[in-house]
Amino acid sequence: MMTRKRENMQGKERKKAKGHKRRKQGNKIRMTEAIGRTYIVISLFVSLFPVYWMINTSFKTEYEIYAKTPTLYPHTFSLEAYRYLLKETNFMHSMQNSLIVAVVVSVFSILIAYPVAYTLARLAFRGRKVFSKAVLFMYLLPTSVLYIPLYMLLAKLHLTNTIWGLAVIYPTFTLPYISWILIPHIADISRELEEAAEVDGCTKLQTMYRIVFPLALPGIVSTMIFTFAMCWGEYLYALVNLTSLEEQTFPVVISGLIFGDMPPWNQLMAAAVLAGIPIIIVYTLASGTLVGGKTAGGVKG
Amino acid sequence: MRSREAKNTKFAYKVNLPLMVFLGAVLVFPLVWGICMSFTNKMIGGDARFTGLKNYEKLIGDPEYRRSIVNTVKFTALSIAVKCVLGMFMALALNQSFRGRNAVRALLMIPWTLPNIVVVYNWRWIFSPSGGIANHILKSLHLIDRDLVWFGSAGLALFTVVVANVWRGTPFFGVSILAKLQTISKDYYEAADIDGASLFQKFRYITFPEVKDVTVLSALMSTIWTINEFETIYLLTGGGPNGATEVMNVYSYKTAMRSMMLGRGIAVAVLAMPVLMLLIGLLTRKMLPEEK
Repeated sequence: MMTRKRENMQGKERKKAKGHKRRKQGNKIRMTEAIGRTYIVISLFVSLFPVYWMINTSFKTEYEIYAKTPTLYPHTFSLEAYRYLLKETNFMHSMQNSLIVAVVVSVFSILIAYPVAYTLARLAFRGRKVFSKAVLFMYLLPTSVLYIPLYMLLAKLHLTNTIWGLAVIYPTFTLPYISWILIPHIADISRELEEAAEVDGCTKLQTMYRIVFPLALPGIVSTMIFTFAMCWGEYLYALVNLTSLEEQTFPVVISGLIFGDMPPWNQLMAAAVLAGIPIIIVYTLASGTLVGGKTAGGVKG
Repeated sequence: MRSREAKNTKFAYKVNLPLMVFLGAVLVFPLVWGICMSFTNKMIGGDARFTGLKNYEKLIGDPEYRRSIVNTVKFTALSIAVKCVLGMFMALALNQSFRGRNAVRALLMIPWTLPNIVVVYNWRWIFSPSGGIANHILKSLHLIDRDLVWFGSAGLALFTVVVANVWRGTPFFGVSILAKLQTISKDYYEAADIDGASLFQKFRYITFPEVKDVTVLSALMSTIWTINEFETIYLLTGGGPNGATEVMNVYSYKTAMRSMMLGRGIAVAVLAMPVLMLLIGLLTRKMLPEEK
């Protein structure tokens, strides 16, 4: 509608209108900006305050967290919660378990799923449509539909209660995710380099790994970070399959720290800080450096 | 040309074989097996005996199950509506240019990057009846004069789970919509300004038609995730008070893992399948535009 109006208003008429409306328009823009800024400030507060509160609580003493008036910063700065968590509980070991599972699954998944994303992005082959539909379907299938069947599968394989069992079932969500998310990253890469490589006698396999893989690396790295984060924080599968303290990943161990009416919130928040802050840092660094990047300048003019 | 397609096909199947075999064995097979098990009396550690539709009859006859479905619908509808609106505001606000915009964007993404379990415990502590900051803030603002028992009443408990879900989920809507907003040409807005369009008119006639698709897409995806939400509710309210926030998956977990009735637990998921299939079908159509 607006575009049609815009076409009607040409030349002189347009200039005149601009003069008339300018002051009013300026006010309006300033108003919009003010609303936008206010909203940003409020959202920043709402988004960050809980994170601040988590960090704040983790440095308090048990006495202070239950003080009558909650304190905005730790009046007695204490590392007691961290000391207890690291020395007296299984938390560190569980973080190690989570790390192993997340790394193993992410690497395995990218190796298997990258070719799928490549073929779906680049090649016309028979059955492609059905195949891409199947991948998308599996990507959208929620974990809650699968957790009991997967528990039965691991029980049959005698893989319940070991982190390797989780390493077997986590790819059910990471593989379809990677195959699907990488498609646009690969599709954005110019075809010219590939065609040149093929003229030079590269096989499809070589083009896929030697030419396209490095160019898609920014996308692959950010996808891997998300894949890692998915496995790192996964709770339901871990809860259902891991029963012994030795094998549990950190989400299950954290949920075991809650007992009674007055849980040790400083320890729980210390655990949340240790498990959450590394992810925030990695993600923030990655989102800053990985956007844009390598593909520019690959093909000259 | 034809031989080329044949070659492509051969290559594609060769390199895609590992994924097909793996997911066939670990995803498709267990899913089909599980669906079969929903027609049996399979218990943890027990053998399965065919019982026909008994699990389904028992479920539909169970008021607790029916309530869990109502709770799921309530929780999902509320969460999605709020996430849509707040995500839209977030995208519109971030679409204006100002200094430090990228930093602000990264900071607003933080809730989305945190592991859900961390988020849930964070809110559980904020809403805690003893030492919780939520009551303290509301009291200092004189909005309440007595402590609220957040997990003690149906309405407030639903509020807390929606808050935790919305807090973590809004950035997803925000960045999805923002990505689309950034592709809208500034010319449209300039032309609208000349015509003296109001802020609302500009949103209604320029912005909204452009971002409608991506908003619906995000909402559909988020709906699938939210219907199947488990830990937010399980760890925040445990489904309480008195089952007032017990959603479908908390019910399924209790049935399968606490009462050990695996077959019936799967039946819960199977009964949700038609709705999930509908949502997935809609999404597939939107995400895979007809090719050639």
